Amino acid sequence: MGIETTFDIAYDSDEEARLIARFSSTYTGAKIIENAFVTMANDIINSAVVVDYGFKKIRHAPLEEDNLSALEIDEEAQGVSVATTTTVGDLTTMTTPEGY
Amino acid sequence: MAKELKIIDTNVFSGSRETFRTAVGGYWETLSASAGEQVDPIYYYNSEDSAVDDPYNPFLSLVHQNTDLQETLSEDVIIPNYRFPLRVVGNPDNVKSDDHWKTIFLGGTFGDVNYDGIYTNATFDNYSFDYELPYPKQESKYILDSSDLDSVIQITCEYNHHLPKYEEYIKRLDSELLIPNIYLLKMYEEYPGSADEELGIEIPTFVENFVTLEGTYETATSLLEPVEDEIDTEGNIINMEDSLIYQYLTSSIVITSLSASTTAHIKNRFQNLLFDNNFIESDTYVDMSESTDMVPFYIKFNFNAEHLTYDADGDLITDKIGHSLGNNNSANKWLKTLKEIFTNQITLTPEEQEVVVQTSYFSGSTDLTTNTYKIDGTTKSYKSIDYMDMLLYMYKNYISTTDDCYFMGANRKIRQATMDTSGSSRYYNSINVIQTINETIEYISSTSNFSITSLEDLYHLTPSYHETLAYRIEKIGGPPAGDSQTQNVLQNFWFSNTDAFMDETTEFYDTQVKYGQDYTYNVYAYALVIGAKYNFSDLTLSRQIGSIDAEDYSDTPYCTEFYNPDSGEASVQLFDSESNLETQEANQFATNAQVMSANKHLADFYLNYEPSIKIIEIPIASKTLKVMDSPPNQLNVIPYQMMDASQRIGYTLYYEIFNNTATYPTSITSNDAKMKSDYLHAKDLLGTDYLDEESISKQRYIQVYRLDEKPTAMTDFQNNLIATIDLKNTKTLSTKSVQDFIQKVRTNTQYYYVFRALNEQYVPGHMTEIYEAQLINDGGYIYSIFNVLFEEDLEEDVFVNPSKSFKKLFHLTPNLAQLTLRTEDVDYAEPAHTQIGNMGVGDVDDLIWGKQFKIRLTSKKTGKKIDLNFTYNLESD
Repeated sequence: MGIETTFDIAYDSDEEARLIARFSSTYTGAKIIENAFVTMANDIINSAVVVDYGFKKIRHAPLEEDNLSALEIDEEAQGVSVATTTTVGDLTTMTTPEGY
Repeated sequence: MAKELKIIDTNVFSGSRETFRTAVGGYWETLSASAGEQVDPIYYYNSEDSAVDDPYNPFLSLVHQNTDLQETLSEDVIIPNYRFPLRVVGNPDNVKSDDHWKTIFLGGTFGDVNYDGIYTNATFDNYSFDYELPYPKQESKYILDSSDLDSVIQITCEYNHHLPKYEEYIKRLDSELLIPNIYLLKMYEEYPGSADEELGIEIPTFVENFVTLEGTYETATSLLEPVEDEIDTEGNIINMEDSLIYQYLTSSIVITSLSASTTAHIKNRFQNLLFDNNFIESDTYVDMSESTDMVPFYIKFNFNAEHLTYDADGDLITDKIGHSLGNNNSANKWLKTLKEIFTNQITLTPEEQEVVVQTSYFSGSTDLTTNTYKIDGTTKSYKSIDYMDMLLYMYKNYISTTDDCYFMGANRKIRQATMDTSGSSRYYNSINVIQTINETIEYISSTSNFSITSLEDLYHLTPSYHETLAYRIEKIGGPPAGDSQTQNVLQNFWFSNTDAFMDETTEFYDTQVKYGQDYTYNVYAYALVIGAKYNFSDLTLSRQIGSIDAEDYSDTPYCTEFYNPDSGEASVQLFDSESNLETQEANQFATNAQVMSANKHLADFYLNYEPSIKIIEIPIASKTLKVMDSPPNQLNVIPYQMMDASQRIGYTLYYEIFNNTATYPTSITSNDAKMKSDYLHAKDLLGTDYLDEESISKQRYIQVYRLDEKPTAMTDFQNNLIATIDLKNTKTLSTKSVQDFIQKVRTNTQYYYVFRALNEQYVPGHMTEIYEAQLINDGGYIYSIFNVLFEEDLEEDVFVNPSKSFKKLFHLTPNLAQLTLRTEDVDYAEPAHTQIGNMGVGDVDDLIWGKQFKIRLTSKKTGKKIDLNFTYNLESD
């Protein structure tokens, strides 16, 4: 007997996916029907389940204006009135005069 | 360099009700100096900057604080709040007794002297901070050496295209909000409506309907594509009239009516246009300058906004409070709430913050030869709102209560959630605000951001920290309304302050304006300031209850008891948790109210304080202006005479090319002067500046003025307009650039003519020279003389010596009857010399000889009078 060489051909996963996409499923007809029934059964089972999500609730005291300041008394109005003018003239640049 | 503002809280000003500051220093006051009055600091007596070692109040000698006893004031409050005790020591040389000591603190009369009291338990805050204001562009041009100015604000107009149909259309609109907005057009280019389903991004239907004219204009996605080449591949000249935007503005929007629904939406939503972080950083905003040439006209804004992310050296800053708004997706809701607060739309309303504003700035001179450095101080009222109150409002009001605003940009989740009216975005809105609140508290809890460990820290005059979170441009215009005949706010533009908002190269454009209408724009900055809120409490005063002679206690010879000045009952000291009478086992019955002291007079009270954050509205600039076209070019004049007997002279008038070395044209009428003033103001030009922009609209009219007398000023031509020539051919719609003007005149009479062009916008151009024209009729031979006078020639000399001697100007001759010789008494037989006395002169009853007369000369021009007195004397030889 001579040397027997075997070589298993395997598709790359991407290539296989594209072939399936182009030529449809590689499954047999029986398998396709079986898968369809399994999917349908799962849907029926899941639809019968009522899921109740329980949220943990941590109650906090509501945030109010009183929580924003410890000093509640409003500031008193001041009786300050100011009108002043200082003028230093005859400058030939934009350099701030000394002392100002 | 900018205008430097020192914004001083009135609490920290001399004369305020915060009297303890005045007692120990740490306030501002008005001081006189050689150059005027200005506001100067009086530092806390115990600080490095202070010039004194003792408190300013002569009854005090020391103030201590014990921060070991610092404690939280209230655990129920979410922001950090503390208190620690202060001890004030009286000056034994000046405080006369325990009652005197009490009067010094609480006020009243002691002896014959009234005391105001240095202690109050009122609550004060201090948000004093420094700010920089840009120089208005026109003001900056008067300043000598103004190259140092790097902070200038310019609000000006640009007039790019004269589209009469468009201008007529928008003039008829009852609201500026219905005028096309360049940002919406640009936005629609990037997010072309609900059609772009792949991106999952869309703009609201009413915006899409507004831009596409209810879907009738299909190519709205390329309206702002610039007309790049002047000549296309087939050699045809491309100009504005070939552009899509031209057709859109002059035809499509004119003939297409918006639906009532779209109109109502636009009028409501566009009252406030909100520019959030995402939009400002998008290409639509940043690259807008590439598209502005395509719109007919607009108002342009430019200034250096305070950068939030990078400091002056360009270093990245990431820990500002403003960042927490953006990082937590609450910047939009915050901006909308800011709008609601400062336009008084919700229950949370701004307070009036009284401040003293000291502004230091340079002022130029009209001749640009010198500068003046000025420091002006004045009391002002700024609107403000507590930042934490604002966040709390945002947290509680997760449902939008106002809809008179529109966030520029596509329908993103953050924008939709802000406008949520159903509560479907409640979680999103609430969690974002809560995270912002948490980060804000974390920020102000850090001692590197807020720390007070002594009275000096509180009373130090260092400016508070601030950052600018937003800007607003308020547009006021339209017809005056109400009893006070004031104009209404038409629109507000609100901007999140991101680094892309505004700088030397980035500008904002308002295209929703009408030509020639006055609009007032007020620019505001919204600065977040971290200040301190504080008060004093639990005052206890000392009274002497004994003295200690023992040598072991020579350092503490006074045994004093603290008491509550209101009730008079003993009260524990605050400054220490235990009495030294107890710790030194000097008196087993002593409580913490009784102490041994080195000082005779003591006062303890708490300093209660907390950080406080305010948003303060600072007016940046204000300007009233209108969109205006530039003046048309000058006319070139060639005079001539019709060589016939018709007595006609004529002028050929050529419309010249643009001269960019001319100043604004001379005014003739008061309307001209107003137009000139408005133009120079709108363009930030001085009267001496050359105009570098040519008239956009074409020349339309030529005005001809004529005087019969030589004018002394160009204004003499006012009310002497003799002809207005329309240069437009109404059939071909072309405009002539050469025109003849012919007129029949009287011979031997001088006339003075002057001409000027007006453009389509009725803006007058430069006056021509004055043409002195005369037709001479010399015995039937008619010839013309034309002389040219320039404006400078009209100036009359100022008379230095108005008197001028003259003679033989008048010749007064008596009537012949006064000169007739009367000889009836003359005897001709006698020698003549004997009869001369018998001869009379004058044959009338009333002779003039020897009588005085007066001649009065009255000037027809000035009305002035000269009286000449003279006497007729009869002389004989």
